Formats: sequence, structure tokens, C-alpha cells
Amino acid sequence: MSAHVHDHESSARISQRVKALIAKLETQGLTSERDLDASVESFLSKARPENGYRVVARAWTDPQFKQRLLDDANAAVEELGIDLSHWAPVRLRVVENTSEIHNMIVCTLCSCYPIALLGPSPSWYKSEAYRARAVSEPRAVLREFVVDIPQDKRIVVWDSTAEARYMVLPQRPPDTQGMTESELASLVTRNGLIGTALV
Amino acid sequence: MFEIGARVRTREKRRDGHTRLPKYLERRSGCVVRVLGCFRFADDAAAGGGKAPEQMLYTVEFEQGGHRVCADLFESYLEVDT
Repeated sequence: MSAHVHDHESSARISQRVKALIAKLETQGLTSERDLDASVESFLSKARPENGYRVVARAWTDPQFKQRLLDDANAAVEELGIDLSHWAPVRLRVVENTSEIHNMIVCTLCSCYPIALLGPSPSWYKSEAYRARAVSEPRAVLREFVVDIPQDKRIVVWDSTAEARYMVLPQRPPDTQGMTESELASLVTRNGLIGTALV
Repeated sequence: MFEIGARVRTREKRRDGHTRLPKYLERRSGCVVRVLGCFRFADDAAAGGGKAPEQMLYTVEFEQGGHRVCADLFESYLEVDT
């Protein structure tokens, strides 16, 4: 409860400061509220989780693309025409789930998230509970997402502390051999790309 | 400079103010798993109005009681683990 109240207080304080900053920029003739809104809207109209779903479906169907994605995700994602330019110089890294490893993404210091690929983050991702518990007891957190990871499978939690943003490449579900790339993309969920769902 | 596979130990936070070294990863031993390159040092950038020299940034992997945690840490947070 106290953390919740604190969140409200700090977000009210932040929005006051943002308003003051915008007012100052407008007075100086550097930008206008309308230009800022247009710029945010243009970014968010392209920043959708469908981008992430497409990347995963391509990686499931094209092993060479998958390798490029794991080696240099920025370059691989641009091959699909996904624009990360608003986002420079952030480094994108994609981590692969396998039969031995389950990956999960968090930002313990704030709420860093690959917005260009996944859209705005869900509120639980920004909660203090998720941020603290993802690194201390990920198995318990995953069980609350109804994801049961067997004890012999290793969990790796990626804490986005600095200049890199992370996305999980889920395992391709069984019995999907005949599916097209767009059918495969429709199986992927946002939580699958954060690691709080299997796909 | 550290290479992939290097055993490193994190220091304590240098001073008050902004840092990208989480408290739970202070004074911990880990292993460098990726070298990310040179980036503006975030602690100094926050303190100095955006101006700061660059530092090498590494992904470091830690054992964390039954699972692993990887975090991206600047060179000055790290020392050789002896």
C-alpha cells in the first residue's frame, strides 16, 4: 500500500516537472506541445508487439536469420524493415529459450524495455514487486504467471541495467511444422517475449 | 579491459547519486559473458549534465541461488576476481 501511494506521489511530481519543462521549451521557441504529441504518436504507432511476433516467426522458420538475430539483433531486426532509429544508440539483444534454458527479462533499476519491438510495457513489468522478485525468486514469479519451469531447466534473468534492451526468443511450439510465418506469428504473445509465458 | 570468460568481482557503489550497479549485485563474483562496447558512463552523465567519458560495458553473469542473473555493468564497477 505504501509503495502504491509512493508511486502516485512520484508520478504526480514527475508529470509536474514534465509540464514545467515543456512550458520552458515552448517559451524558448524550441518545440510545441503539438509537435511533441505528434512525435510520440508517430513513435508509438510503429512500436507494436506485432514487430516482436514477426521477428520470432522469422527466426523459427529461417535458421540463418535466427543466427544473425542472436549475433546482432539490431541488424537482423532492420532486415525486416522494423525501424529502431528512434531508439539509437540502444543495443538490442535477443536471448534464446532452449530445452535447457528459460530466459526472463526485468529492469530492477527502473523499467527499461524494448518498446520499439513490444510496444509500451505492461504495468506489472514496472511494479516494485516484479522488479524485486524476478531476480530473487524467478521460479515463484513464473508460477504466478502459470508457467512451471522444471527444476532441471536453468533460469537466466536478464537485468536491463544499462544500454542494452532484451527480448526473449521463445521455443517453437511442437506440431507447428505446416504453419506459415504469419500463422506462427499469431501464436506469439507479448509475455512470451518477456519470458513470463512459454510462447 | 576484460575478455569473455573473465572472472570479475563488483565493487561497492562509489558515491551517492545515479548508478547502473544494482545494490543486490554489489561485491559479487561473476563471469563476463559478452563485451558490449564503449558507452557513455551513465553515473557521470547523470551527475555532469549529460557529459561523460565513455567506458567499456560488459554483460556479467552471476549465480543467484538456483538460477542465474545477467546484468550490463560498466568497467569501473568491476575488478579482477582473485
